[in-house]
Amino acid sequence: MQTLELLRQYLQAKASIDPGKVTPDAKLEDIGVDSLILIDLMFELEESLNVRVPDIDTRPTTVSELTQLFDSLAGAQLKTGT
Amino acid sequence: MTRRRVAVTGLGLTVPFGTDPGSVFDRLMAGESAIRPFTPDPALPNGTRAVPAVYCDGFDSEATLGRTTTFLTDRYAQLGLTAALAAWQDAGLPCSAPPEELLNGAVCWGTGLGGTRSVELAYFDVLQRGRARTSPMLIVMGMHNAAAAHVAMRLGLGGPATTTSVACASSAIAIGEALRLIRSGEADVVVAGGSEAPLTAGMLLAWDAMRVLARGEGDAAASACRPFHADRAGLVLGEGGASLVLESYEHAQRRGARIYAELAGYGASCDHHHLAQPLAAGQIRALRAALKSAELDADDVDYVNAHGTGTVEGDPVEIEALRGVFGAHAESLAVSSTKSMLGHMLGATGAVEALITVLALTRQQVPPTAHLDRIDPACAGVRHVARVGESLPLQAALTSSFAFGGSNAVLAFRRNVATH
Repeated sequence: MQTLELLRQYLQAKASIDPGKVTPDAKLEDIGVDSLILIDLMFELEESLNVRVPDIDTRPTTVSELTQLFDSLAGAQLKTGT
Repeated sequence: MTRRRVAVTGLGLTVPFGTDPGSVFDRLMAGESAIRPFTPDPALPNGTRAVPAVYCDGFDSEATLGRTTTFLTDRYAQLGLTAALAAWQDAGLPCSAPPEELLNGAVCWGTGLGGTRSVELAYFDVLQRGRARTSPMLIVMGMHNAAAAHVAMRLGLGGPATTTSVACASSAIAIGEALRLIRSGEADVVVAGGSEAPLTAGMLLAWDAMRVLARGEGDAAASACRPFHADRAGLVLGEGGASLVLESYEHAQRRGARIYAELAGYGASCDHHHLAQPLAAGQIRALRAALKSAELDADDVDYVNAHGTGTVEGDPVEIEALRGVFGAHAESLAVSSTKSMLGHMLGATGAVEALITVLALTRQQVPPTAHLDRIDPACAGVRHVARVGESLPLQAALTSSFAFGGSNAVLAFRRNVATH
């Protein structure tokens, strides 16, 4: 849930996107997150959560795909202790 | 076939005096200077004092452009986009959202340094503070054509969106290229202009190292820039933006637009001589090319808004060029440098001064060279409008922009006779 909160804060601060719209099922495109904003968003989440997203074939298209991606990275790093 | 004429139908600007062209012009007529002491953030190295500069501390990008655009743009683009949107609105053109696409509407923008502020701040974070990475937005913020792209996106302009970067002549050349697009029939409407945000620690240090920045502390900052003055001591850097909406007369008249003035001609040249020493012969070529392009005789010109930066070397060369082109008429040719009040906005300065020249023709008023109470004999031979503005009958006026690198650009404007 922490990732979702970060996401909401970011989108409100930088793109004036209503936090109420940032729900797990929401499509990123529908709430105003285009490819450019997504790149910046992923960068900011990497910085905040201290993780690095590896090169990925498919970019997340929904809020939950995005939060799951970061949660799994954070979890993996916890396990390996990095 | 008669040549297509070009009308100026919209004006917008972002300078410290505000965004209303009329009230900015009034303050210039009174000889009021916008120059104040400035301290950059992050600060200059220890021991370096505040420098006189022109800065838009009241400018609120988020309020005018929104949060998303603000975080995607450098300050230079914010200042420019704000001016362009104001000019578009002033022209009475439709601002629907999403905009109706104007397929042959174009953008001709000018900037010397583009998003240099964003680039410098990012490098500062990486090289000085040890940050490992830079924002992925740095590329689209730093690129020189960002302002033009945002203008085209906001206004739905589907023709060419170009950016010229020719140091201090950038936006004068952009406006000149806009004239060509309309004359040739490639565009009916062009949003032209320029913007610059050069007030970073690195830029100030670099300009200072060239020994061309004027000094002045406290209240003395206001009169730090003294073009043509016997004791002038350099230029003052400024940030800002200005935009002119240009249209073919046919297009403007068909929609019943107000026409401020006619953009009648454009001349450009290169000194091919030196990176930083202007040459009268090169300036003369640009002045004569502008007159020819406008089908004006030298005697037809009543006012020249000079480049006049206030440097010891530059000002006399410009007056020499004016004497060379205007001959006996030079003595009665009104000349002023509004940089005495608004500083040198580098790539934006040509657009700012084009806007001022248009308003001079509209109002039949010539703004002054502020603080000019003792003319350098080397700068004599023209009719300097000094200290405060004057009401004068004006039919045609020029504005000059001369750049490092020796590139020269002169724009010619004519009073719009149709409205008088």
